Amino acid sequence: MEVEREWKRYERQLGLIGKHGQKKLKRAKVFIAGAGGLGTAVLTYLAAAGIGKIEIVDKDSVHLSNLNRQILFSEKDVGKEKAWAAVKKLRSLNPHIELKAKTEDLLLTCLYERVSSFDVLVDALDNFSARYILNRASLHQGIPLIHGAVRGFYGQITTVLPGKTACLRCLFPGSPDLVQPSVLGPVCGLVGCLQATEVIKLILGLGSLLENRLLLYDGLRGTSEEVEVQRRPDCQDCGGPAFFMGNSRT
Amino acid sequence: MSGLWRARFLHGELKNMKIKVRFLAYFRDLFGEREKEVRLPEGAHLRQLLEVLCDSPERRAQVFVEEKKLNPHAVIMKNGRPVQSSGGLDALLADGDVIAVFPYLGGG
Repeated sequence: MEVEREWKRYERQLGLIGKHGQKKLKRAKVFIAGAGGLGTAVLTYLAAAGIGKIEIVDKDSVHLSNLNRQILFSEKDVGKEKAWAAVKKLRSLNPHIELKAKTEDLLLTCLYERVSSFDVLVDALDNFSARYILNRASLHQGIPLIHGAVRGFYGQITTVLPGKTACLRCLFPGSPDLVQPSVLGPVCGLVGCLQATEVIKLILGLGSLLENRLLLYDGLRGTSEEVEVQRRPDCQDCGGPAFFMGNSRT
Repeated sequence: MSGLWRARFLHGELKNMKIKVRFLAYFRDLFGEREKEVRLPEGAHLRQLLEVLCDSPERRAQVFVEEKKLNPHAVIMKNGRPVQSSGGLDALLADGDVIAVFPYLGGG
């Protein structure tokens, strides 16, 4: 009965991906760094789609000023740890998947081993210092990384396939200081949904990924454009043989 | 533009290069167009291109800081690679180069 209910919940996507695809999603393990504006959108759609195992890492607690965009949280969550508040909400959304929460700062974490069992890493972070750590973990373990970032009415997304495409450091070798940039909730949601779509495509082997393509969304104009990007042989993270230790899974 | 380089160009010793520049997000509004082709004499650097493009204080303020450095909030890519890692303002341009200019987005 419970199994039937689980299949029933995916009825509207089975026509697209089939039972075989749905089982692939159920077997997939996704690591999501950041449960903010991007992360809450990614989490919602991946949990709803039936990704079998999701781990969420975020160092922060919910603040009232998060609620314009971080759609998993409500006023009663203010003060609670984001990762745990997100898991609680997602369990009611889909009780058939495994969810794990961790409140920690990626800057203080050794990620390499932590992420080794995952199929996909999602960058839903809000700073490049932590992104570089996630980028190196992705390269070291050979695990694809789906990058997203937002500011104002604009968003960007790309997919990093270690050893094959440009990595985050290839594209952004350094980062300026950004003090809590203003951002519109729907733009976070849109970019997060694009990231979730990339994750699902990657797991199922469908369509074309944003490989060596940085997609930029312009919310003011309602347009999106791509910038073709390339690996840098001199990239400090992926440029030489020294860092790329893992076997690419792509 | 160095005097010698300018003199050589004016005397027809240097060929023209075509550089395609793409403006994305708010740079598209700032520069009033999505794409532009700029002709520069061979041997030109990114600095010369940006000097040609940034013909107002508003444009200069978004692209340069302290007049001599690139604004770190502007991402400038040459043929898909950040110029920050390939010479910055001194990056040498070549005929057919594609330069993309877009804002640095870091939030989540």
